[in-house]
Amino acid sequence: MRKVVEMNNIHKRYDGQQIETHALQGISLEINSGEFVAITGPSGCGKSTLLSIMGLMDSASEGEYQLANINTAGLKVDQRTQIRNEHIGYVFQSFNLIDNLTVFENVALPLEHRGTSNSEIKQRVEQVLTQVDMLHRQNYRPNQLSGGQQQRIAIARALVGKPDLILVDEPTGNLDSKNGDQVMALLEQLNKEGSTIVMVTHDSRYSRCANRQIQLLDGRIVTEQQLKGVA
Amino acid sequence: MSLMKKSLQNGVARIFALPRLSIPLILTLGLTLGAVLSVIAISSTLLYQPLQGVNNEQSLQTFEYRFKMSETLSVSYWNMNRLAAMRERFAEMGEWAGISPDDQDVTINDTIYPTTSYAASDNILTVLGAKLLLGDDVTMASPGDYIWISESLWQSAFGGVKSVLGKQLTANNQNYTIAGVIEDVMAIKSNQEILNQQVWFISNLTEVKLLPDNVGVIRNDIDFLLVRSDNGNAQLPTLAQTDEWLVNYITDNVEGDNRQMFLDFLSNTNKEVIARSFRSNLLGETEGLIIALFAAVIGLLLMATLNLLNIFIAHYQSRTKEFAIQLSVGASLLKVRTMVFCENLPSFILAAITGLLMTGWALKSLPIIAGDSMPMIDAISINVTTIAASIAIVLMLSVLFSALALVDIDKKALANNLNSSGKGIQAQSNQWLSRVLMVVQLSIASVLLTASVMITMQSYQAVYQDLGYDIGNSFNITMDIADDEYIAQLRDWEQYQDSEVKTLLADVSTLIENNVADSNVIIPDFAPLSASLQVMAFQSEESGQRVIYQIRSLSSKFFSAFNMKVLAGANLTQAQIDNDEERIVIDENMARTMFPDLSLDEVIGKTINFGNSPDGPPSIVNGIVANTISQTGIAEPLGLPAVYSHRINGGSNLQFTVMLPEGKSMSADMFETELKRQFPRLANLQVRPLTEIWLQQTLNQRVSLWIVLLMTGLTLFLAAIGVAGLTQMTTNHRKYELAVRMATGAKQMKLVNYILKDALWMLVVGLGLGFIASVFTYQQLEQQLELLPSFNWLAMSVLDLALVSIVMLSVIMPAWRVISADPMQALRQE
Ligand SMILES: Nc1ncnc2c1ncn2[C@@H]1O[C@H](COP(=O)(O)OP(=O)(O)OP(=O)(O)O)[C@@H](O)[C@H]1O
Ligand SMILES: [Mg+2]
Repeated sequence: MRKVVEMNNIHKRYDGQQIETHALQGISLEINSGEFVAITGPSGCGKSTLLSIMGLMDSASEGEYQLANINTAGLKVDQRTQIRNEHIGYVFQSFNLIDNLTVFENVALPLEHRGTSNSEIKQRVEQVLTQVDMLHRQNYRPNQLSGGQQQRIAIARALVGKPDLILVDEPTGNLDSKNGDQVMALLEQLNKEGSTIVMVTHDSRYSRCANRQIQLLDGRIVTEQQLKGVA
Repeated sequence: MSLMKKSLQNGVARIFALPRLSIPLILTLGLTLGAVLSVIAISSTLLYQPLQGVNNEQSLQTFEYRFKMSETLSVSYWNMNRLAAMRERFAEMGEWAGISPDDQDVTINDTIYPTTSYAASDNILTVLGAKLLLGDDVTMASPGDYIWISESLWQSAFGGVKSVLGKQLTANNQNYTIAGVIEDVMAIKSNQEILNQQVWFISNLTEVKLLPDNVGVIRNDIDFLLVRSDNGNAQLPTLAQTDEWLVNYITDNVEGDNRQMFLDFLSNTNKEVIARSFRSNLLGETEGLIIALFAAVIGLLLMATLNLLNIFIAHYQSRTKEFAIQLSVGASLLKVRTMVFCENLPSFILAAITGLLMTGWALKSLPIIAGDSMPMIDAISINVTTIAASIAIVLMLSVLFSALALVDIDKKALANNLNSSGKGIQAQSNQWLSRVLMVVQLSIASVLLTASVMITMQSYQAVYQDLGYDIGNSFNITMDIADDEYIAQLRDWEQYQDSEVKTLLADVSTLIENNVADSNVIIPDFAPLSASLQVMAFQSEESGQRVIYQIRSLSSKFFSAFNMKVLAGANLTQAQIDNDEERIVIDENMARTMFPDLSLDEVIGKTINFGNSPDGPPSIVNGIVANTISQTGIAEPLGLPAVYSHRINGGSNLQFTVMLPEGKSMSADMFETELKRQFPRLANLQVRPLTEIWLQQTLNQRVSLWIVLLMTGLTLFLAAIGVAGLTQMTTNHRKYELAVRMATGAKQMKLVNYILKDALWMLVVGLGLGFIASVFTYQQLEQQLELLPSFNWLAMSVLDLALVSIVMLSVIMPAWRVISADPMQALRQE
C-alpha cells in the first residue's frame, strides 16, 4: 500500500513574545493511500497545527515529514507551494474563499496556478461543482452564499486538482446538522471514490465515518483506533 | 480568463472602485513625476543636447578675466583689441576668438526685424565650427561695411534667394552690405534671449590690433573669450600670467603719466580668471540650479515613494488573507507578485501619463518662469530621455511595490494568516515598517522644507527690499544718437555749462514737457532704479586708498521727487547747477568710505579730488543722501559708494526720467513726431514705466519664489496625503478592533485619542530625526550650493510646527471619519 503521509517525531513550538507554546510534542504517524483519517481531541490540543504541517502550510520545528515520498525538510517556499498545488487539497475551517472572485474562479485557482488550459479548467471545474452540487451557483460570489454552500465550494476547490491528500479542518464546525451531514456525506463519497482524506473534528458523530481515528491530547497522540477497513 | 488578465482588469476597475488607493497614487506620483521629469527634460537637454551652430564644442574652452568692483559686481576686461593681443601672446594654447551677443533691430526693405546681433572676431566660424552657407567668408579684409545674416533671417526677410548677397540692410541708422549667410547659432551665453534671426558684425583682428585702445575702460564688451585647442583641454593662462600680460599690454598702449596711473589702478583691483568648458560657461548659474532642483525633486520623489509604499502596505495588509489563500492553493511567490504588479500597472500608467502631462505643462510655462535668459530654452521639451525615464521610474516603482505585497505574509507558516478570523490581522502585521517609512518621510519633508523656507525668505527679501526711494509714477525714456560724428561732437565738452550736450538735454526735456500733458522731466538721465551702472575709480588723497565708486546724476528736484532721504547738507540748488559749480552730493556709503572718522555733518564742505583732469579743482561735498539700491532682485546689493554729479555725460544714448501725476500714463507716440521733426539725428525712441523695469529686474527672484513656494506646497501636501492615507488605511483596517472597543463601551473621542497616541511617537521620532537631519544636510548642501542662504532657526521651527499641525490633522481627520461612520456595523455584518 502506498504511503501518502509519513511523520516521524514531529514537534512544533510557537515562540511568542513572552510564552513558548509546545503545540506538538513528538507526533509520529503514517497514512496510506485511500484512508479516511479523523483527528480528534479537545480544543487547543494541536489538531489544526498538525493539519497545517501536514498540508505544508506551516513547518515543523523538529522531526521528519515525507509527503508522497517527498522529503519536505529544507524545501524552499516555492517548492513547498508547488507540492501543495500538486498533492494537497486543503479545506479550511473558515473556508478562506476570495471574495472578489466568483465561485467558478475560486474553484479554478489551483488549476490556474498549475497552468492548465482554459478548456480543461472549465471542464474540470464544472465537474467538481456538479460533484458538490453547486454548479448552479458558479457565477455567484462567496459572500452571496450560505455557510454550508461556502464549505462545499471550499471542498470543490480542494478536489479540483485531483490531489493525493485532502485535508479538512472542522468541515462541520460552522454548519448546522443538516448542512454538516451533507458535507460529511460528500467526504465519505469522495473517500469511496479513492481520495485520501484527513479530517479534523471534535464531533464524535462524524469521526465515526472515518476508517481510522487518531486522538490528540496536549500535542501527543493518545489513542489510535482502526474503525473499518479501507475501502 | 487568465489570472493576469483578470488582475489587469481588476487594476483598471480599482482606479474607480478604490479611490482611497488610486487617488493618492495618481496625484502623488503624477505630481512628483511631473517635477522629476521636468528636471530630467531640462537637464538632459542642457547637459547633452548638441549645441546648435557650435559644432566644435568638444575642442572649445572659455576664458574670462574679470575685475571685481565689489563683492557682487565683476566686469569682464575683454574687447576686440585685447582679444587680438591675447591671441598673439598665448597662441600656443590654441586659437582665440571672441563673440558678444546683443539685441538689434535691423531694417530690410522698410520692415523692421528684431534680431540678435553678434559682434565677433574674424576667426569665429572656424573656432565655433559654425557653417557659412553662402557668400564670402568672415575672414575677408576690412569687414566693417559688411554684415552677415543668419539662415533664419535670410529665409524670413529674403525668402532664401541666392541673390541676397550684395543687398543692403540698415542697423543703427547705418547701411551694411550683406556679405554672407551663416547657419543659426543659438548656443551662445547671453543675458537676453538668442533669436534665430541674427546679424553678424565682424572685426578683423589683424586690423583691430592697429587701432588704439583705451586700456583703462573696463566694460564687459566681450564677456568671455573662446579658445579652440586640439582636445579642448588646453592649460589656459593663470591669473598671474594674465596679470603679467595686462602689464605688458598697458605698457605697450599708454605713454607718459597715464601709464603709471593705469598700472596702479589695474594692478590694485581684485581680479579673477575663469577657465571652463564651453558647456558649463553656457549654462552658468543654471548648472547650480539644475543640481539644486535635482536634489529637491529626488527628495520629493523619495517622499512620494515612501508615502505610497505606506499606503500600499496598509492596503496589502488588508489583503493578506487573499494572498495567503493564493499561496495555499499553489501560486508561487513570483506569481502572486506578478498578479499584484498587473493590478497596480493601470494606476501607475495613469500616474505616468499624469506626470508627463504635468511635465508638458511645466515645460510650456518654463519661458514664463525662467525668463529669456535660460540657455537653449526653445530646445527643451519632452524628449526620448524624458519618456524613457518616466517609463523606467514607473516600472521600477511598480515592481518595487508589487515585491512588497507579500511583506506581511509568513511564507513558511501560512497557517498563521489563514487560521485567523481575519479580524485581528493588524496585531501581527509589520507595523514597524510603515512607521519607519513614515519617519523617514517626515525627515525628508523636514529637510526639504528647511531648504525651501530659507530660499523663500531670501527671494522675498531680494524682491521686496527697501530700495531707499519711491518709484512713483515715473517713466524712463531712451533714445539713440544715430551717427558717430554727432556722438563725438556731443562728447566734446571742455566747458559743460554751454556745451552742446547740455543744450540738447535741456531742449529735449522741454519738448517732452510741452508735448506730454502734466509731465515733469525730473532729470535728463537715469532714474534711481536702472540697469545701467557707471563705475569709476580714483586714489584718495587722504588715505592713499583706491576707491571704486559709481557715478550717478542729479538735478535740483531729483532727490525730493523720488523721496530719497538727505541725511546731511543739501541738494544743489538750480542756481548752483546753472553756475556749473564744483559741487557734488554723495551717499552715506561714500561718506563713510572717504571720511571714516567724521560725522556726516562734518563731511559737508569737505572736498574730494577725483583726479579727472590733472589740475582740475576738487569737488565740494554739498550733501549726503541715504544709500540706495539701483538694481533690485539680487540677493546682495552691489554695495558700491555713489557720487551724484549735475554734469550729465552725453553718450550714444540719451535718457530722461519723467514723472506724471498718479493714474496718468505716457507713450512714445505722444511726442515722437515732434521729436523726429526737431531732432532728426535722434532715433529709436522708447518709453518704459519704471514699474516695468522693477518687474523685469525682480523677475528671476519672483520666479524662484514661486517655484520654491510650489515645492513647499507639494512637500506639505505629500506629507499630509501620506499621513492621512496611512491613518485612513490603518484605521479602516482596525475597524474590527475599534468596533469591539466601542461595543464594550469606549467613546468616540477616546478612540481618536487612542489612534492619535499611536501616531504621536511616530511624529516625535520623525520630526526629531528630521530636525537633526535638516541641520546636518542643510549644512552639507550649503557648502555644495552657493545659492542657499544661511540657516535660520526661527524659520525652521515655525515650519516644523506647521508640519506637526498638518500631520496631527492628517491623523485625526481620517481616523474620525472611520470612527464616526459607525464601525459597529462591521460587527453586525457577520
Ligand atoms: N500562531 C500561534 N502562536 C502561538 N501559539 C499558537 C499558535 N497557533 C496555535 N497555538 C497554540 O498551539 C496549541 C494548539 O493549537 P491548535 O490551533 O492546533 O489547536 P486545535 O486543536 O486546533 O484547537 P481547536 O479545536 O480549538 O481548533 C494551542 O495551545 C495554541 O495556543
Ligand atoms: Mg483548530
